[in-house]
Amino acid sequence: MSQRILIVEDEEAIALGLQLNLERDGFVTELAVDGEVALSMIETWNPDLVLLDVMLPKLSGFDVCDRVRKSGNRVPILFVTAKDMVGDRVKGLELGGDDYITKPFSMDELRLRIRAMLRRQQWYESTPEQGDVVEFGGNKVDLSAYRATTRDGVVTMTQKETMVLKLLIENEGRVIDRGTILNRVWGEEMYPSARTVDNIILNLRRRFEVDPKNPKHIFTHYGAGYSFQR
Amino acid sequence: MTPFWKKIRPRSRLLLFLFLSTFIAAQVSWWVIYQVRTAERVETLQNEVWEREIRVADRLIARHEAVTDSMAALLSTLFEDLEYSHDLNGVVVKAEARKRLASETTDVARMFAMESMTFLIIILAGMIYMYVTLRREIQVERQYANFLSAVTHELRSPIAAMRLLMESLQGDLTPDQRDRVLLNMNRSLDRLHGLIDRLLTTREFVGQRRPLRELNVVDLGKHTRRVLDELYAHHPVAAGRLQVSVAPSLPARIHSGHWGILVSNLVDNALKYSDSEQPVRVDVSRKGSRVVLTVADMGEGFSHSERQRIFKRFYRIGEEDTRTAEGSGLGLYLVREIARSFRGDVSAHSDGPGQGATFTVRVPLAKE
Repeated sequence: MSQRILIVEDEEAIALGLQLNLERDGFVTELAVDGEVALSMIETWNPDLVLLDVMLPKLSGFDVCDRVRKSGNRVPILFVTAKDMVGDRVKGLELGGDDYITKPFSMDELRLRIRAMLRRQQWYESTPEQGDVVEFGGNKVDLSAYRATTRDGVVTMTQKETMVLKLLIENEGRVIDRGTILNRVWGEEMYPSARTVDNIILNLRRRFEVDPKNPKHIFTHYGAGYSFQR
Repeated sequence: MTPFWKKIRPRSRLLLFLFLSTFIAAQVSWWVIYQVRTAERVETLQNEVWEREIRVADRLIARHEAVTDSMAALLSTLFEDLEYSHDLNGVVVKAEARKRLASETTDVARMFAMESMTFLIIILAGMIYMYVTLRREIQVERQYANFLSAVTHELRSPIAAMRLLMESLQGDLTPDQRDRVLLNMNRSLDRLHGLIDRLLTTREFVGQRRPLRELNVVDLGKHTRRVLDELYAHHPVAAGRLQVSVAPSLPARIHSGHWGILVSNLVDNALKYSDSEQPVRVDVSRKGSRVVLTVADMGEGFSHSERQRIFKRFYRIGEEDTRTAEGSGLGLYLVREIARSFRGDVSAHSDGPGQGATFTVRVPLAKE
């Protein structure tokens, strides 16, 4: 079945260019011309990916992204905008956007990003060999629900935490380097900062290790990466 | 070399300035208090000197049975502010000396009060001036950042559109799709052209007071109609929304290119800031000795407080992230500058947000 892309763009010329090119690539597209229409279409049309402009009538792209994430929807969001400020990029990502592309861009660049995001999403949604529910050290993690039962009770994990843990669990006993984690979880051009993986690992240890300073499940291999052991 | 204070951000400069001003005002106030206290201390000291002199004189008198005239004269010579009182059989401070001291103290206090008032007024005026200047600088900086962001957006969007549309032309398209692509490419080019025109014209007008180009007598009715026909040749939907009414024979001394920019800015705004089905009325008529152009829409309008600000350079209504319309914040600024360069003026009216807006440009009627 063709994958569905929602184009949220108020400028007719850009929307037309995107629609014609993406439909030629085999995607099914729909157009939302303002933030409010975008929100209701994400809900009802259930797209596989959203191309989201930042400057929109009624509700800005940032607000749309924020509301979508707060509602628990994890559809991949690619910000497409003429704004090129570092602050805007960071804001977009903090609000839960998955990638950011600045106008003007070529269709080749956009295609690459869309495919990488869809591939990542597919991996996010796939079930590892070990199953969706994994138990270790008295913790029970549901990878599909982004939820875990730990000694502190039931906790909701962020998407990135869940994906880093999933990658480690899929490769149980093997050392995974930081670059691989960044590529698989964030995408090739989306390195938020060098310390991001370290911070996620720290969070995971705090959640799942009895003594985070002497981990029994999530190990650091200095200069090499991280590994997981049940 | 950049002066060091220019390296400090305007907001920090404002805070630093407020701190310094408060410090200076406090110092001046303290200086005044100190001077008044000094004057009071001088008065106290003088009184103490007089008391000591009275005690010395009283001892001298006590050594004599009676005070003779010659002795009274001697006492006056020794203590010039004292005099012998027969009633009290002792010396007292002369009334005029007390009066002089009191008046000297009052004079000094008055002098310091006046001086300090002058200082404070000067400092206050300087503070207000600096505060207003710094506030304006902060405002200009913010507007300039908005302007850059808007211009970047205005440049990038049509380029992005053209790039995508050109790529779409490389594949198979139905004739209808091809027509839409070409129409949108034309619009993107028009948009770029319009922005560059506005930027160049703004550069011409900034800081100028006189007409920059030679003005010619032109029939404004006919010229306005021609401008609109050319402007919306690629925009049939927009052209369909225009209701143009033009009176015959309306000569005015203008620059036809600049008038074109003025008309297109006002009409573009009216189209942008109202719903796509709503009409926009353009009237050119004669009122007394003036030619009047009005552009009225039933769109977003503006609040009373925004009525004057909308003509400022770089000013744009609304939040940057939720703009409903493209623009650079130069359109209405140019309208006002162009109208003024024709010895005319422009005014804006709206009953409030959502109530539509009417812009009126008046220029003097010329003799043909």
